[in-house]
Amino acid sequence: MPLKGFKCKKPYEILSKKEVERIHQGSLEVLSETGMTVAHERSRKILEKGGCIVDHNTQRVKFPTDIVKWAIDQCPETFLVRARNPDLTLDLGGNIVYFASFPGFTWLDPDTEERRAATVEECARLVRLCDALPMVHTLCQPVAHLGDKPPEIELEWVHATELRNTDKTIMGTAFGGSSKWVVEMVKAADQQTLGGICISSPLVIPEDQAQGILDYAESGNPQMMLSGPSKGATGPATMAGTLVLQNAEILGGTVLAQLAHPGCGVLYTGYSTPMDMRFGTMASGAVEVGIMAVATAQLARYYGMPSGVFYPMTDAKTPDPQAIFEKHLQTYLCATAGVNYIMPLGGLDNEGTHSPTQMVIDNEVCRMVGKVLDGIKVDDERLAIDLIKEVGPVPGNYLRTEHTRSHWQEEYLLSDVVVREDYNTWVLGGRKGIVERAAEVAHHLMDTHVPNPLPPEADRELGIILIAAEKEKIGA
Amino acid sequence: MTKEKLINDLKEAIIQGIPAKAVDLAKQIVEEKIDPVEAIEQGLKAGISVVGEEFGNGSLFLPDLVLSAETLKAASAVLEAEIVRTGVKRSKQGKVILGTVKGDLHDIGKTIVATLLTANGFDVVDLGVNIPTEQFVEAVRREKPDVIGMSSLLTATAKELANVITELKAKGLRDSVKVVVGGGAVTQAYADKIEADGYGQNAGLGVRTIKLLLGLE
Repeated sequence: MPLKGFKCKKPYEILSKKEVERIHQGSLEVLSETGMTVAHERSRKILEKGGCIVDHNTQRVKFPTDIVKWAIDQCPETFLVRARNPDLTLDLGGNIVYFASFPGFTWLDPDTEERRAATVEECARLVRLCDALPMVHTLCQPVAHLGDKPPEIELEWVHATELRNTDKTIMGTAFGGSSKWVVEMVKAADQQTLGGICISSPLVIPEDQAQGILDYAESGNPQMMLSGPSKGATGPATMAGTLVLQNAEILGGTVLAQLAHPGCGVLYTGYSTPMDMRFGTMASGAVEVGIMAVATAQLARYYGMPSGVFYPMTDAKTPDPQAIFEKHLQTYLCATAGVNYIMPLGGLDNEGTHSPTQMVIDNEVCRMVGKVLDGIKVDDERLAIDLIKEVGPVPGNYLRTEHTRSHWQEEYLLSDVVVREDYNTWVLGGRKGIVERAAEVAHHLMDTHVPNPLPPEADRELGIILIAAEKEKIGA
Repeated sequence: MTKEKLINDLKEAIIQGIPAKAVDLAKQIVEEKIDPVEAIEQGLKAGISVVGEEFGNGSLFLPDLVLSAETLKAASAVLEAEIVRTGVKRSKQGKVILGTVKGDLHDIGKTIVATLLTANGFDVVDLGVNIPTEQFVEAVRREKPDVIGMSSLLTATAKELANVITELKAKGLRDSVKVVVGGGAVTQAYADKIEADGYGQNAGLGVRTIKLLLGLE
């Protein structure tokens, strides 16, 4: 049985059917008339053979509409991302909502409040926290850089560290040729990965990402097709225009994936942020990001593809009120829009840093948003009409009824990190707020949590793959 | 069934909070002519003290606590009747009268205090809610408690706390009993102003206040 996740029964929508169709038509027009730059020769050849119009000199590929439509038809409506522990396999699509961890270039040490590159051991601790927290249904690597490994092979080391410290599914990468090694590593660990492919806006499939599309498709791993035009910079300033571009880019990448391996799983994924015109920064915590999530889910449903977003995010630099409100608003919008794959856990400062404290807070937000999706269960037992009649007016009350004892735990969430005790108890407990409590929980879990171990032979194989990657990439 | 087994089952029934089961066991204990005082000490009090402890450390919750208290009350009635009938004497750590003042129907906080006190070995007489001044005073005269605990959740009814204290003074009973007040409408400053002996911000702290006042902690 795959991981249950949550179910979004009635997705919130922000676009009309007609508006969705106008975006779709616009994207088809862009793909057929302007096309995309595909900076990878083998990919261009595959596209050419599949019927696209290719200029190898300029690397420009134009996508005739019938080929785009063919590719959409090849995409499965749902697909699995198989974990080595079958209970943790993802079943992406339909009305299922999963939450994932979010990466940072650095990590924020709660002890020193210092932001720094993680060592392999610190990365392992962060992965074990992901493993311990129940709302992390699946992982995107907690950190993208390592302080104690050469930059050329740090992603390979990060992914190996993930596989060694969790049996949950992980997202792969394609940066710097890492896809080739991720595919080998997940095979050694007897599981699949969701390969992460980043299109460069506007309209470029970079060489390593094109290679990644082929690597994941040809090895039987599903992939996340990510497009994130920044409104006003790498995309039009308008949300509608950015949707046309984002949609074109996702579909362009999807054509390549389906030509490489028809029927492969593709997650229709957006991560568009507006640019803050004062600082030139990506406003990743902006409410517009959440609005785009709702539209992204609608477009994915229009194509019959599972949807994802590479957020919720925040621009706050520490786990503070801004981090919590920006991420909560986006998480709520994503989940109620029925985005299948949402990444709310642990990210701060756009992708600047990953915070264990923030992870624990986000875990609470996800539990609560999941509770919203669960809705209200209505049946004879829960309507409690006989009970209400029996208890009658005050001084009758419900605390002393067996009904309360049997149902309150399934109906209400308790939290170890949210402050709910009375004022005096709070004072006696040291006046700790959610941030202090979350840091304590994070610490405790990182110190004590023991993941389901990777079998020793798989662990040895990862070691061999890492050595081969080092040899090929830096000749070490 | 052996005496040990019956008393242990009674303790379990208290921990699980199943009144019907506890009453059945208490009746069996009476039929088997087992010492009711021993059944109260080793069964009821031992059980409720486990519940109090587990509530304190967060492994049991209010509904468990209150249902165990109800179970205790039901089984006590059977065993206490036997004690009265046979005239056995029993030692007591302290006796506390509890009630919510006139005009106030809030029951739950006071019930929690009653349960925690019982779990800590006190004999508790719970008068209920909406208790007029005269009834508190009469109960003090009749029951001769060590402590009277009063609760007020509404600012409009907090003055009733002062009325009871005034009336206890007028009847010459004030020095015979410690007065502890609590509830949402009460603060330490207000407790000081009306010359109460103690104040409990919440149930756990209320129990601690009572223990301190009686020199038990």
